[in-house]
Amino acid sequence: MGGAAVSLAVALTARAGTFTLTADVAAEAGSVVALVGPNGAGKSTLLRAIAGVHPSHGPIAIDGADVAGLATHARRVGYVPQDGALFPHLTALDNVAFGPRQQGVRRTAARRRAAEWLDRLGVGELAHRRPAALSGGQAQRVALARALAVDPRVLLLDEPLAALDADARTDVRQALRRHLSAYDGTTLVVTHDPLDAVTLADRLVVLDEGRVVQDASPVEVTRAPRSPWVARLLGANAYRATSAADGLRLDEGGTLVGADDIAPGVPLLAVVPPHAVALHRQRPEGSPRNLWPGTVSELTLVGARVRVGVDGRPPIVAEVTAAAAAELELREGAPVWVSIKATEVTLVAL
Amino acid sequence: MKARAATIRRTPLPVGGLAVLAVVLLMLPLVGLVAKAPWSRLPAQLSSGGALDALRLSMITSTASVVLCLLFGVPLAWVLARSRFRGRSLLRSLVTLPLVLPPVVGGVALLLAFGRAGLLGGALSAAGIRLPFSTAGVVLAETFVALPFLVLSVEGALAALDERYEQVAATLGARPWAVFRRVTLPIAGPALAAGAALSWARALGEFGATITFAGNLPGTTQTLPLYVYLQLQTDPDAAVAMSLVLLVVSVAVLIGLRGRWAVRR
Repeated sequence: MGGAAVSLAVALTARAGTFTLTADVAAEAGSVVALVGPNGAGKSTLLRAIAGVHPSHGPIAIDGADVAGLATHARRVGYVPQDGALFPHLTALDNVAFGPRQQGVRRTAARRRAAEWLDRLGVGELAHRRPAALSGGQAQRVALARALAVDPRVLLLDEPLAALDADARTDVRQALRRHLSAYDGTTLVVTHDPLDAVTLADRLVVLDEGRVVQDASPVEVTRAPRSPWVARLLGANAYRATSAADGLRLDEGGTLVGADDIAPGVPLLAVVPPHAVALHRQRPEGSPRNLWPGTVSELTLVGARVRVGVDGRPPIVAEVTAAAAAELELREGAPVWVSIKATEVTLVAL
Repeated sequence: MKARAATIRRTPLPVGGLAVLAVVLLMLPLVGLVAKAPWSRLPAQLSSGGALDALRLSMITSTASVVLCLLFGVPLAWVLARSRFRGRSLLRSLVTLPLVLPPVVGGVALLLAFGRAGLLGGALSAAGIRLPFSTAGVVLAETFVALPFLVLSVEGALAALDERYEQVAATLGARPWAVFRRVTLPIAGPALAAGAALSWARALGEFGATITFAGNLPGTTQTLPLYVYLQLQTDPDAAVAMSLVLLVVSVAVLIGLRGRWAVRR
């Protein structure tokens, strides 16, 4: 946490669907924390609990003051739900002026402040449009302006880019980067997109089934993901496994051998980057430590490289050059041999 | 494929024929009303003292009953749409009962609740309030039959309203009452207007419950439908003229709604 003031500290539990969310998250003032995790992990519930629109137990401290007992309107949090949820009956300007008006600012002053915020977010010329006449990206900017216009201590963004097309996404991502770095409060942003997480956030909090499974810098999470979901999100193969005398027994079947010696019986996550997976048409000579047969299930072109899904025990994703893919005559349904050097298998303790 | 789709789309003869008969059944009486109306003597009929009194009374009472419907119906719709409690669906059924209840039964029921010998009769007369055979009684009877239209219309809109709007409003510092006034009501506004128009039209046309509960006293409880019914025996032209007025009002309400009621149900 360094010397900076802790701006947000929550230790809450909340019912979320079929499970109970238990989240212990703290963030410094001015930092951006990305909440990532599979669908239903509790990300949105956590945001909504902090905003006060979902019941929860436990302290929610903003700048040291517990707001858990306060009603939503008294919490001073900015909440932007998915796709913005702009008030359909108000213009963009009046949407942004709504917050200041509720805080007692006079109409003209509130509108002036709203116009400034719209300008700052690059949508000043749309001030008099209704939300129905705004594109997804424009609506998202107006929603952000509306949240920021009340000068919240904490900003909660629920998948701000999810509903946007690729162009708008790039555009709004840049706007977010610019405004979040200038914002002195704490931002929590829920995202599904690893690019968003890595480009926007100082820290990633990985949630799974209502629990925080990892809380670290993007670099750290990329290097040593602690859940299969986040590893796959970042493009790596990952398997929950238990160490045994002769290697790793994977939960989903199959075995892997790593380079490290580990006492038997330890639960681990085995992570294999796709570029470290070699594919062969015939059983290769020599004796790679990890070798098994499979069938090509999927081919996708990623830039100049081809991602190859291989059904086998275990299933795996390999990444090869387009030239290699042609040479191997890869096509869906083709039999292949998979090999991995033991040194390429990274083990992460769970 | 195209030809087959066209075959399926083609209306079977019996269906089309019966549908045409249905339209005739619905439209012919209205055509008769318009065709047989005493157009030349219409201005005189419309400005006769009795007709004007009935018209004025109808406007006042139906408008008053819409005000009551809004005052009590919107909160009831809110409770039905937003609260979770045991017996909610039972309550909703009870609220819609006046829609299917014969209005004359409604009038009898009102007498047994608010009449001199009714449930609240003693308390009301002790307080010096007399509802049966009074203008207030007319308003009460009209409200009884009109309230379900408003409640159903508004409840549907509130249930369909995306609750995130209200949640965001709260995070922006709006207290619950401000959220209701500045966000919930405006967004539900069209449904509110539709419900108000429907319940107004229903109140305006109320006959059975009114005549049973409030009687037929010219100037006090004789609303337009009652006047029409009475005049039919003595002065049919006057009855037809005022029927025409009610028809025009109904059509105006329909045009004003522009199918909103039908779409929302």
